[in-house]
Amino acid sequence: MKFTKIIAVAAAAVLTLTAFAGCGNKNGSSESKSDKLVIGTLDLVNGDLIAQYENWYTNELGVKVEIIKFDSGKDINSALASGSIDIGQEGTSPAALAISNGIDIEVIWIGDIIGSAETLVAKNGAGISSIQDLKGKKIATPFASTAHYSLLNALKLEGIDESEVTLLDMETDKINAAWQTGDIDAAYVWYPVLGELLKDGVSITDSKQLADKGIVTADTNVVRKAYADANPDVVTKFVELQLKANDIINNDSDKAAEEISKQLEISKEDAADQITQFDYLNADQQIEQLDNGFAGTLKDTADFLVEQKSITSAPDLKEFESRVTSEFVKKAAAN
Amino acid sequence: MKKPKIELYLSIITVAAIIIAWFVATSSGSVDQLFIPSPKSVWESFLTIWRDGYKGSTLLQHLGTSMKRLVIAYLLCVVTAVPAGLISGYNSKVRALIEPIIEFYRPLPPLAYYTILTLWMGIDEESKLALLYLAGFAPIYISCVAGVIRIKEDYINGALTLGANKRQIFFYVIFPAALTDVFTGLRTALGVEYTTLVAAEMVAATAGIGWMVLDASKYLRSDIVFMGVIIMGITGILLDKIIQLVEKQVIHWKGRN
Repeated sequence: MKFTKIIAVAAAAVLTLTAFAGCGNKNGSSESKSDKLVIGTLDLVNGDLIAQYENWYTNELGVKVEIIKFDSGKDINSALASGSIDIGQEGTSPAALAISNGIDIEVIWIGDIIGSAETLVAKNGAGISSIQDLKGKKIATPFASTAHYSLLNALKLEGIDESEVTLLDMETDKINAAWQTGDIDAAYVWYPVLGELLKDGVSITDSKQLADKGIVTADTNVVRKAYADANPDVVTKFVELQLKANDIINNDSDKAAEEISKQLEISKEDAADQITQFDYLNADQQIEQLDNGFAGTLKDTADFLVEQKSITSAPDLKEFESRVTSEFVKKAAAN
Repeated sequence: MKKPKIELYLSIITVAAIIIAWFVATSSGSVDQLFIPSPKSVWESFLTIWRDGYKGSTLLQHLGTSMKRLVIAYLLCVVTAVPAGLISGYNSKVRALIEPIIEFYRPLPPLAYYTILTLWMGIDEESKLALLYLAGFAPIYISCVAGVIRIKEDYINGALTLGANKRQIFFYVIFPAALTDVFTGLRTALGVEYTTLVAAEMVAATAGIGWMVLDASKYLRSDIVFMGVIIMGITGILLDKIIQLVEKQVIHWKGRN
């Protein structure tokens, strides 16, 4: 009969779709030990670049390593959620988003605390010399980034409502283009575009000044929990390499600038300058932060995103605490 | 009314199967909400955004902004690409002048040249409209050319024998005879423009249905993404139906040669 056939086809379709849907379910499942590590990087100016330059990942982790370059923490989150990468680099805003949305990750390392490396720049001639002057102006920033978070907080601290300015969501390269054509008046960005904008602009505030007022932003490394559970040694080794890299940055900044400049193909002076605009934590400071303040920073970030109506709800502090671990730093420091 | 055919039932079954699979997959709780949000949460996000809007604009404003961009660019396409295409089909010299440009940019992905457009025209509406315009121009132009070339010589010779001049031939023979192809081009163009819309709203937009989906995806709001995609899908079908309806009114002789 025709109709039984139709029903059979429909049933098959339902089953296929359900099975297909099941593929997406990577969260919560356990994994077996892997002989591979896929690292997602944003090429942020921190120890990660030194580790890349020295080929530490490939030579010292003892597993096959693949390094994939991403443009934003948002893409890192998608890749983590789908299980395409195992360890990813992202700022506090994407990390808070990931935890709030139940992506099964752990924060294992603080790559840097962002200082003046993220700055709100106003274009010369736009008539902006303070945050108050931003009213009625066009400000660009990549949405859902740490810079976006800092910008919104900077406005809030000055009592400026978001509706009093025009906020534009653009990736940093687009910001550079729009700046050159005079389409925007100000932008909250990071390097290398920040360097370009400062040639024709002036700093209004930066993430260092905001950090002093309690608005802390940082860059982290997060790992998929399932990968960390199955491969704790690889993750520990990864953190050990970050510690080694931070030693170079903090104790031999000349060498660090040299290596970072080569990795990013920028001038050594620029690299040396950029290093001074972040804080890099040693093992003790890492443990102190990861055990105490950092979950709170992530929670604050998530709460702010709720206030912005970007996400519907944020989990409680306990959940964030369970997602931030000093375990790997402790083990790495002991090695 | 004709009796609905078995094909209609089959289409309904496909749609129903997908919706049922969606319910089944999400109700068991085995699938993470991030990957496939439940129909309930998608419906709820629809209600919330309907009531409170999304990031400063209501849902209708988002949809309206997008439709305005689409319609303006589309009308510009229609009034320029149709004449250009028909004339190019009629006159091979004009065709030789225009065709290289079309052939070059037509296969390009819009995002590839969008950066150039934003550099030239800025980040406001102009560059978005230009992108949509370019996306829609080529399909209309090409089918108009094809439509004119396809016309049987007999028709034109017949008109010539009856003493028609070139202008009369163009308006009374070529234009009506090419209309079927013109409408094929118009439908294709609308589809292409619609798919380009999200790309156009990627840079520095603050409203628009495509922008809403992109923005929500940054915050991992799969429920809003699903809702936006469904709305875009339905709107796309509706727009296509409108063109089909207009076509039916204009070319009432279709299929009867």
